[in-house]
Order: sequence, then structure tokens, then C-alpha cells
Amino acid sequence: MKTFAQIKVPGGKMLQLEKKDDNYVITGDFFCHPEEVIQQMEFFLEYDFTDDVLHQKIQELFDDPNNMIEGFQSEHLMDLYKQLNV
Amino acid sequence: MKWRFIATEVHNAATNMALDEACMQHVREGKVLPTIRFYRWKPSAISVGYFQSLEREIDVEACKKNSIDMVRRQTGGGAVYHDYDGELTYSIIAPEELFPKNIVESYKHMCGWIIDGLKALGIESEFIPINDIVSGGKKISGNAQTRKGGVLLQHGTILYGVDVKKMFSLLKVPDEKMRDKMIQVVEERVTSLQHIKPDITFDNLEKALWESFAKGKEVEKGEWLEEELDMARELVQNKYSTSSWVGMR
Repeated sequence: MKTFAQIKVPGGKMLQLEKKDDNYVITGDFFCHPEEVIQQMEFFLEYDFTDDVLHQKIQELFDDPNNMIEGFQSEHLMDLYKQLNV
Repeated sequence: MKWRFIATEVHNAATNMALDEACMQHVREGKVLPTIRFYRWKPSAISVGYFQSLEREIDVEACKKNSIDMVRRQTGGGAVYHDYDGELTYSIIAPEELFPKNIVESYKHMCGWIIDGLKALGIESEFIPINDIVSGGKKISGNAQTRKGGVLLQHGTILYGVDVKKMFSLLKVPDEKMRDKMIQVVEERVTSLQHIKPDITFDNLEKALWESFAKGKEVEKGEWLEEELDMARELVQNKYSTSSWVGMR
């Protein structure tokens, strides 16, 4: 099973997802503040949500006006997540 | 709005990043004016973006062998090779309400100061979203930003001279067989002031940027507060030089 996947988002940044045991680590050269939003995404990935609910939870973080995320969209993270969970 | 300008200093990587954070804290508390600083890195260093994997981006052993500092920034973005002889770095630290809320618009705003400075040196350049400045289609400046507690930090580099082969000897490449090809690709995509106008000196660059950054602002040349320096020393020791921070991801 794959434990690492990455995408160079067209017009965006590099987004990488690594699975270590049951934990996920999101890395890349994107921008996000507050930085804790990425930890929140990692937490959601580790939780036992269905794909649809997981996508919705991550999208809510993008939609929150207090969060600024540049370089990738929720769809890109979901693509990587699915690659690691085939 | 008055600004403080701190003229070019030379520090190691951890100190440069610690000074930015200490300054942010003091701007937040209203103890110092919004600040613009210029600086260089000695020894030369590689900084990784806040969210990057150190081990995946940097050849740690090569850096150690070549006495290259390694540090994690508090801003996002990619790995940057800060060659002591090859670039000038700036930081802008100010209340975020002075800038557009939209992140790309705010990059565009501050990158405009760099573009004006390069124009004064006879170099045409343009902003390319999200965070780059290019001249003749080639990157000449990279920039990164974060905002914490109402204070914005944007720092970035202006390439004075670039040694792509040296840079790639310190960065990881996905496939060793691709190293030469990647060097060629980057050489085709990155430029520097020395390449465009070899007669431009570091002093010329600093003066032009200082004038463009200061344009339309009330600026006073300033120094660090002693308590900023104390905080920076503490941050060097307990954060920016620790493996738990540098190797966080």
C-alpha cells in the first residue's frame, strides 16, 4: 500500500501527504495561516469519516473566513488521501 | 504611519528568523514601529517553509559537510538557498490592517515595492501570483508571508547572483539521474541582478530598495530594542536552533 503521494497543483503549490502508521502528515510549499489549520486537516484525515464527510469537513476549513489557504484546494488533498487508501 | 527601518545586518539563520519573530511580538504589543529590515545570511543557509519536510527537501549531510545553516521559517513557501554573496533578504513586519486582507493582493502590494526598486536600477520585472517576481520571464525574487495575532510578516529574497549547481548540491532531488536536467531547468527559469546587469553592486541594490520601500512612508532609521534582542536570543536557543523545530515535519 502506498504511504506517500504528492501533487504539483496546477497554478498552485506542491502538496504532499504521508501516512505513518495511522497518522497523516501534510507537507508542501503552500501557504496557510493560522498554521494550526493544517493540523486540523491531519486530525480529520485520521478520523473515521466517510469520504464525503471528510471532504466536507476539510472544505469547511477552506470556507472559514478566518483561515487563509493558498496553493491547493480540498479536492487535491482528497485525491492524495484516496491514493493512500485504495 | 511611521515606520522603523533597520539597515542591512548579517546574522546566522536562526538569529535572522528569531529577530523576525521577536519583532512581530513587539509590533503586536505596540512597543516598536512597523518595521522594514534588510539582512544577509552568514554562514550561507537553507531555509525551508513552515510546512515542508526537512528530510525530503534538504540533503542534511551535504549541508553539514559544507557548513550550511538549516532553519525552518515561520512562513510557508518552498526551500530557499540563502547564499551570503548571492542575495539580499528583507522583512516587512506591520499590523495586518495596513495591507489587503486577500493574501495574493497583499503579496502584490508589497512585491510592488521590490518591482519599483528594480525599476530604479533599470530592471523591468513583474509580479506573478502567488508569490514570485520575474524579470524577462525568469524568477528574480521569492516571497513568503504569515499573519499572527494581527501582525503580518512578509519576507523574501532578491537574487543578486545565483549558483544553481551549489544550490542543487544541497537540495534533495527526486531522482539522481534527473539532477543535471533539473539544474538546467532551474538555470533557465531563474535569473539574478548580476546576470541582467553585472555592474550593479550590493550597495546599489540596497539603496534602490530602501528608497522604493520608504516611498510614501514616514521612515526613521532605527535599532533593535534591547528586549527584542533578548527575546531573539531566547528564540534562537529554544526554538530556531533546535532539532524539534528545524525537523518538525
